[in-house]
Amino acid sequence: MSACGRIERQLLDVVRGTASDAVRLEVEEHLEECASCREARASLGLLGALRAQAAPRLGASAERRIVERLVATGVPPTRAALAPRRPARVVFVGLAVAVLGALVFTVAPRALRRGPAPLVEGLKLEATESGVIAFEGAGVTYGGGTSLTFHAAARTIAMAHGEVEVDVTEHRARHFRVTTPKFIVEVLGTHFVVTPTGVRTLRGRVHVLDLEEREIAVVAAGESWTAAPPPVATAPAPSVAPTPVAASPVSSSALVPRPVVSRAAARPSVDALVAEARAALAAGDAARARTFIDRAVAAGPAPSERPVVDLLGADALLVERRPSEAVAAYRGVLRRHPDAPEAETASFAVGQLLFESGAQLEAAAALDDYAARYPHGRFVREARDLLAQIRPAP
Amino acid sequence: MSTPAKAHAVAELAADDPCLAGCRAGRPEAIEKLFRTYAGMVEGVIGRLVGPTPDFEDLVQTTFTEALGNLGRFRGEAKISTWLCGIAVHVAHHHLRAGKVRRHVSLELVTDDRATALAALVDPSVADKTIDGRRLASRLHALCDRISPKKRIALLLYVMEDRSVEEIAALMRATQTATRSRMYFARRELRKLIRADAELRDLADGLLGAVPEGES
Repeated sequence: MSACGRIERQLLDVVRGTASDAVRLEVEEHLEECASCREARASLGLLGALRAQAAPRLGASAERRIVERLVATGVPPTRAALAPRRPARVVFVGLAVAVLGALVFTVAPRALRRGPAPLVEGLKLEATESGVIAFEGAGVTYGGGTSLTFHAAARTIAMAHGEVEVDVTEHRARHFRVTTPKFIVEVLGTHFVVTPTGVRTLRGRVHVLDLEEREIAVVAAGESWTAAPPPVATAPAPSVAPTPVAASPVSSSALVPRPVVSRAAARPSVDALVAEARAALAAGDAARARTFIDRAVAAGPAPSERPVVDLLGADALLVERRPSEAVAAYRGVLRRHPDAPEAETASFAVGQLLFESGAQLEAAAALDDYAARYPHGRFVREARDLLAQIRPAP
Repeated sequence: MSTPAKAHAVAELAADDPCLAGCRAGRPEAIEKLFRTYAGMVEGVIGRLVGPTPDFEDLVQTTFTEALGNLGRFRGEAKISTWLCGIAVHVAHHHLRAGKVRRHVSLELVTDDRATALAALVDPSVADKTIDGRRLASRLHALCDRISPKKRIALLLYVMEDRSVEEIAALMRATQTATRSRMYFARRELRKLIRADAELRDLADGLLGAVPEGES
C-alpha cells in the first residue's frame, strides 16, 4: 500500500501502453491488494477505452468545405504585417460592421442565426433503446421505451412516456420546453432530467408549468420536483351519475395548488452543491462557487463531507487571487481534518502556494512537513522538485 | 511489449518545402497541400482534447486559419507538426475556457448523408449503433468539462496523444512541475467525477474486469 502514489503515476503509462513489462507487473501486483488504486485504474481505463477508439476525423465533405474557405479567404496578414490603419478606414469598417450586425439581427431569418437547419417538424421517435441526439442547441439523451415528438419551430419536445435528459445551450431569446401529459418544463439554458412524474435539475434552474401554463414550481440545481399524485377518488353517491373519466392520466387541476408540490424532495444534497461549486471553480467563477459552498455548509454536511467543503472554500480563495488567505484556509483544512484525504492536498497546497509567493523558507518547512506526513504521498515528486529549487544540491 | 505508434505521428513537410512559400503567397494548391498533410493530426488533437462537439469543424478551420495567418513568423526551428499542434492546443484551450461547450452528438457530424442521419434518428437501433462509441466520448468529455481546461488538456495530451511531460509543458508554455501538477489534479478530479457517475463507474469497473492491462 505504501507505493500508491508511485503506482498511480505509473498507471498513466500502463493505460497508454508505454510502461515496461516490469512496471506493468509491479502495477498488477499492487492492484491485486489495493482497492483504491484499482479504482484509479478503472477510471483511467475509460480514457484507455477512448484512446482505443479511432481519432476523431471530419468527413470528406467537411474537409472540402474547410479547404474552400481557406482558399477563399487566402492568407490573413499577421498582426505585425498589418499596415497602420487610417482613421477614415476604421470608421468605414466600423459602420459596415454596424450595418451588417443590424441586418443580421433584424432582417436575416432566424434559421440563419440558429445554425444548422432544424430537424423535420413533428418528427416522432419511439425509442426501444437509449440514445443521444442533437436538437435545437440541446443534447437530448433518451432512455429505452421513450416516446418523443420534436417541434423545432416551437423549440419543444413532447414526451408521451419514458425519460429524457436535456442539456440546453442558453438562448436568451427563446425558451426550450419539454411537455409531458401532466406538466410542462420550460428553461433557457440548463441541464435537467424529465420523467412522466417529475423533473430533476442538474444545472441552472427550470420552471415547471401546469398544462394551462401557470408556473407551479421553480427547480434549482440539485433539486427535484415531483408531480402530486392524482387525488384519491372518493366513491360518488350512488344516486349521482358517474363522472366521465378524463382522457389524460391525471387532470391538470391536480397540479395547480402550490402546497401540493412535493418540496420535500427539493432539498439539495451536499454532493450536488459540491459538484456545482467545483464546476464553478473550474470555470473560474469564484463568486458562484462561493454561493454553492455556503449552501453546502448551510445544508449541514456529514462529517465525511466536511473536509471537501472546506477544501473547496480554500480553492475558491485561490481562484479569487487571495493567496495568503488561501494558505490560511488550507492550513485550517489540515488542522481540522488531519486524517481526511483532503488533508494531503491541503498540505501540499500550502507548500506550493508559499513557494509561488516567494516565501522560500516557509515553503521549504511546509514541503518538508508534507514529505514527513506523506512519505509516499501523491505529491512527493512535486514536493521534491520544489524543494530542489529552494535548496539546490551543492 | 512494443511501444505503440505515436498518436501524433504524421508525414512531415520540410521547413523549406516550397509548399510553405506557396501558402505565404496564398496559392490554393499549396494551402490545400498543407491542409491535407496535417488535417488528420490537427483533427485528432482537437477531437481528443475537446471531444464530440458540433463546433469541431470550426475549431479545425480556426487552427489552419491561425496557422496561415502566422506562417510568416514560422522560422523552422520546430517541426511544422509541432508548431501546428501548439496552435491546435491553443485553439482548443481557448474554446474550452470560453465557457459552455456544446456537448452532444450532432447527427450532422456522425454522417455526411442527411438521409442516413434522419434514418438514424427515427430508427433507434441504427442510431445506437452509430453513436455508441461517441456516447462514451460524449459522456466522458462532459465530465472533463468540469475540470479546468489547463488540467484537462495536460492529462489528455499525455494519455491520448502520447506526448511527454516535456512536450506538453512546451506546448502549453508551462513548467514541467506545473504540468505534472495539472495532470495529477486532473486525474484526481476525473476519478471523483467518474465515481459520482453511476453509469460510467459501472462501465469503468466492467473495463477493469475485461481488460487487465494496456488496452491500447
